[in-house]
Parts: sequence; structure tokens; C-alpha cells
Amino acid sequence: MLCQKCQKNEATVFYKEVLNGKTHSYAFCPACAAQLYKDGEIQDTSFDFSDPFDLLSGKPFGLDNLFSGLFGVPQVESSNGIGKTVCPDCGMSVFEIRKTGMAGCPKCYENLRDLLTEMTRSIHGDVKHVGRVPGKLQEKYNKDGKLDQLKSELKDAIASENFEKAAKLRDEIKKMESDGQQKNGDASKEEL
Amino acid sequence: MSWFQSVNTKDKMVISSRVRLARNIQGYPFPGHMTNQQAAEVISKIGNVLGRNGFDQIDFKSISPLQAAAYVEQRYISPAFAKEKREHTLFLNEPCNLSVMACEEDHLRIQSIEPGLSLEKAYANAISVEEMLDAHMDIAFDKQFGYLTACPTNLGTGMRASIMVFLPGITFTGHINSLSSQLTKIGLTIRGAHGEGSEAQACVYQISNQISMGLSEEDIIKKLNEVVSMVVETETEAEKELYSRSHDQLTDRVLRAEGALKYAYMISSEEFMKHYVQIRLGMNLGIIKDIPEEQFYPLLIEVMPATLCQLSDEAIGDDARRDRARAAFIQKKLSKETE
Repeated sequence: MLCQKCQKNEATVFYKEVLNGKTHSYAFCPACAAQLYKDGEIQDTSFDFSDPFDLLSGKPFGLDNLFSGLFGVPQVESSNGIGKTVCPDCGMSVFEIRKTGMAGCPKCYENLRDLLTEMTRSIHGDVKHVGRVPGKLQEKYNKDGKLDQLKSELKDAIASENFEKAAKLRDEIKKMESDGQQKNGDASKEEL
Repeated sequence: MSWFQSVNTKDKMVISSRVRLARNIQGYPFPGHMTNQQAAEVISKIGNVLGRNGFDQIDFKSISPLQAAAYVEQRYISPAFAKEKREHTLFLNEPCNLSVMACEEDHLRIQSIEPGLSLEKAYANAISVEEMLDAHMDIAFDKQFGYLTACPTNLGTGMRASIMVFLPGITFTGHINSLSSQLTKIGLTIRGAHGEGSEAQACVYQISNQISMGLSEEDIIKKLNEVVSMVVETETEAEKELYSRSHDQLTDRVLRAEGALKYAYMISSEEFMKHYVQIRLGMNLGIIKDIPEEQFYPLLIEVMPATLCQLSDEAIGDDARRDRARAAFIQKKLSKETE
């Protein structure tokens, strides 16, 4: 049987994955399997790809992560189409997060946003925080919220051809944005 | 005086209200992925702020297993925190209504407990601790996800609000499972408050929010308050029904339990729990009128093995001696009714 990835070498590594209750089987040559593991595409850390027979020893059976498969998440794709599977800040892979149900660092949520958004949806049925904001960020988020609201009102005004209102809203938005830029500029000067 | 010793007799079925906030500090991996050095750094940052604000730092490397067990019984820490092998520390304030677990599953688990139905107060106190810390460090937050936590189950508000309730009526009329499935449907959960398997014995449960994302803190508290007042109404009805259905048997059980607690020479935790439920139910129904609630209610925590040793100022390792000490402690408290 040929490796499903390179289609050249003999497949000696057989990999099974259960997603949403469905079992998917793959067969790879040791070199491709090692590369996929390195890229975080396949998950078992007990595998030693220098010796494919080590697969048989596997890792001990346990129920610790029985339900982690419930967070069946599709391959995370970045905008350029290349799968992003590891958090560059802490090295936590998509598979580790799915397996343990835990993130590695706060930055995982930014770096692997698509994956964690899907996990959050399956847990909470919602993906948007609506509660408290830490004190230091309150001013910023209140302003962001106000800007979003003005932009949405502008859209409505244009759609209903209320151009007078639209012009006023546009000026207000511009003023808020330029105030923000000014403030950011001042802050970076202070930092220097 | 600890939270479990101050009694709010207004809410007979509500024991306490607790709010726990999960928070993390930007720039560090979550505790499960930290080096000991990073954990020590985080603990020191937290300690610098809390130390100036009246919190004591309790180093788990230097306390006895008995002391650690007492903190678990008194709900200042989770059982997992007591067993944790990595660097971790507990911060506890003087009135003992606020505790902060540093480097549990998250960098910070801020916990606030109040007697009776008082989630708003517990929340306000927990937030005051967050504000203290927020002024000196960057709390990990994302506009979409809210407070960033190691486990996505805590995302959003990072808040778990829970109310500890005493529900013998609902338990003995066989409606606990039905209550549990109804609560699950509205994003809440109920579980035994004294560890796995003990809930049926103690009839003490914890009702808390399961969902922390997509609802504001105020919404969660409002929902829990509404649900708990409905549960309390149902409990009152269930107790009345129980009493009218089996008046003689119930009265007999309650008075026998009172006799056992007043006159036993030795009493185990399990036996105490059984009698505690009957007596507290008897007090609710007016069968027992002469035991003061302020003396009796706190026994629930006071006579747990490690707390009993702590309050007796003696590490009693031997079960039989501890059972004797428990019986004596209970009798001393109950004798205060005549003082």
C-alpha cells in the first residue's frame, strides 16, 4: 500500500482518528508520518517514527480524554490556505488542544482562533463574550463598541438614502478614529 | 469568624453563596505548561499585590496534610489544589471570605464566599480582588473570548457562581434527578456539595452556572437567584408534603436524631451527617424549637475530620479518638441552647 501523502513510498504507519463519532483511517510512510507529526497534523506523542514498529507499543489506554473527541474540529485553515496547527507562542498543537481540551497559553486563543472558536461553540453554544471587561481595557472597548454602532447606523442611513444623517455619522466616525490614532501616537511617543 | 460560622438564619435552605473568577496573566503560559521558575514569578507578582491588601500567603510546601485537608473542607481550595505537585500558593484574607488560589488550573482563581443567599455581595468582593490585581498586571482578555482561561469551559466571564442549598424534602420525595435534568436544560448544574456519593446523605447540594460565555455576570447571578428561589419554594412544599404524609414517622426520626447527637459518646462523620439532616429538617418544620440555628448550622463544616482537629487545636489521627472528640464538640455546642 502506498503512502497517502507522497504516493511514492510504502505505507507502514497506520493512523486512525475519530471525529464526531466517525473513524477516519490513514496510511503513511515513516518519513511523511514524521513530518505530519512535526507539523501537528497527527497527534500521538508516544510514537517514535524512527521505528515504525514502536506504533504497536502505543500509549496506555485510558478514559482521561474520552470526550475530547466531542470537540471534533475541522482542520484550521489560515487565510492563505496553509493549515496553521501549532501555537507559535507556546508550541501547543491543535491536536494536543483537542486531545486535552485545554489551551497552552493565552496567545493560543489568538493564534488558533478558528479552532478555539469552534470548541467554544460546542461547549457554550455561543462564541461572543458579553460581560465584564478588565478595568484597563474598558475605555478602549467602550469606544470600539460605540464605533461599531456608528458604522452600523451609517450603513442603515446609506441604505435608506438618508444622506444628511450619513454625512454626520461619517464625520463622527472619522473624528473618533483620528482621536484614537492621535492618542496611540502620543502613547508611542511616551514609550520612546 | 469564617463564612461557615456566620449564619444567615433568614435563608433556611440556603447555606452559602460563592463566586469564583478564573483569571490569567498575559505573557505567561497557563500553569499546566509553566516552568517552576515562571510559576514562582507569577506567585511573587500576585503576592506583592495581595500581601499589601491584607492577604496571608499560605505556602503548601510548609503546611501539614491535615491543614491542607481543612482548607478543602472549608472550601477555600479545590481537592486538586491540595494535591498539586507544581508551585502553587493560597492567599487568604483576614475575615476568611476571600481566597485566591495561585497557579491552580489558571494563574488566578479568585473565590469569594458569603453565608446565605448573597451572590451579589460575593461577586462584588471577588471583583474588588480582580481590580487590585488588574492595576498591577495585565489580565489576559480577548474581545471575542472574554477572560482567557486554560480550559475553554471557563471562557467568557470566567465566572462560576454557586449557591449551596439544603434540600432534604426534594431528596426524600425522590425529585432530585428530575430537578437536575431541568437545571441542565437552562445551563445550570446541581451536584452534591460534600464530594461524590455523600450528597444523598447530607442533602446538601451546589447549584451553579454551567455556561460562562454569552451571558453577562449580572445575567448569570439573576438567573441563579431566580432559580434558587423557585427551588427553595419547591423544597418548602416538599417538606410540608413529607410531614403531612408521614407525620409520626418523621417526628420519631427527628427526635431520635436529636437524642443521638445529644447523648452519643462517639460519632463518625457519616453518622453525624445522617442525624444532621433529620434535625435540620425538624427545625425547618418546627418539630425542634430549642436548638439555636447559629449553633447548629455551622456543625456541618465544623465537625468534618480536619476542621474538627483544627478547632480542637489537636491533630487527632486515631478514628476512635476523633469520633469521641466529635461527640463532645457537638454536645458542647448544643448545650449552649440552655445557656
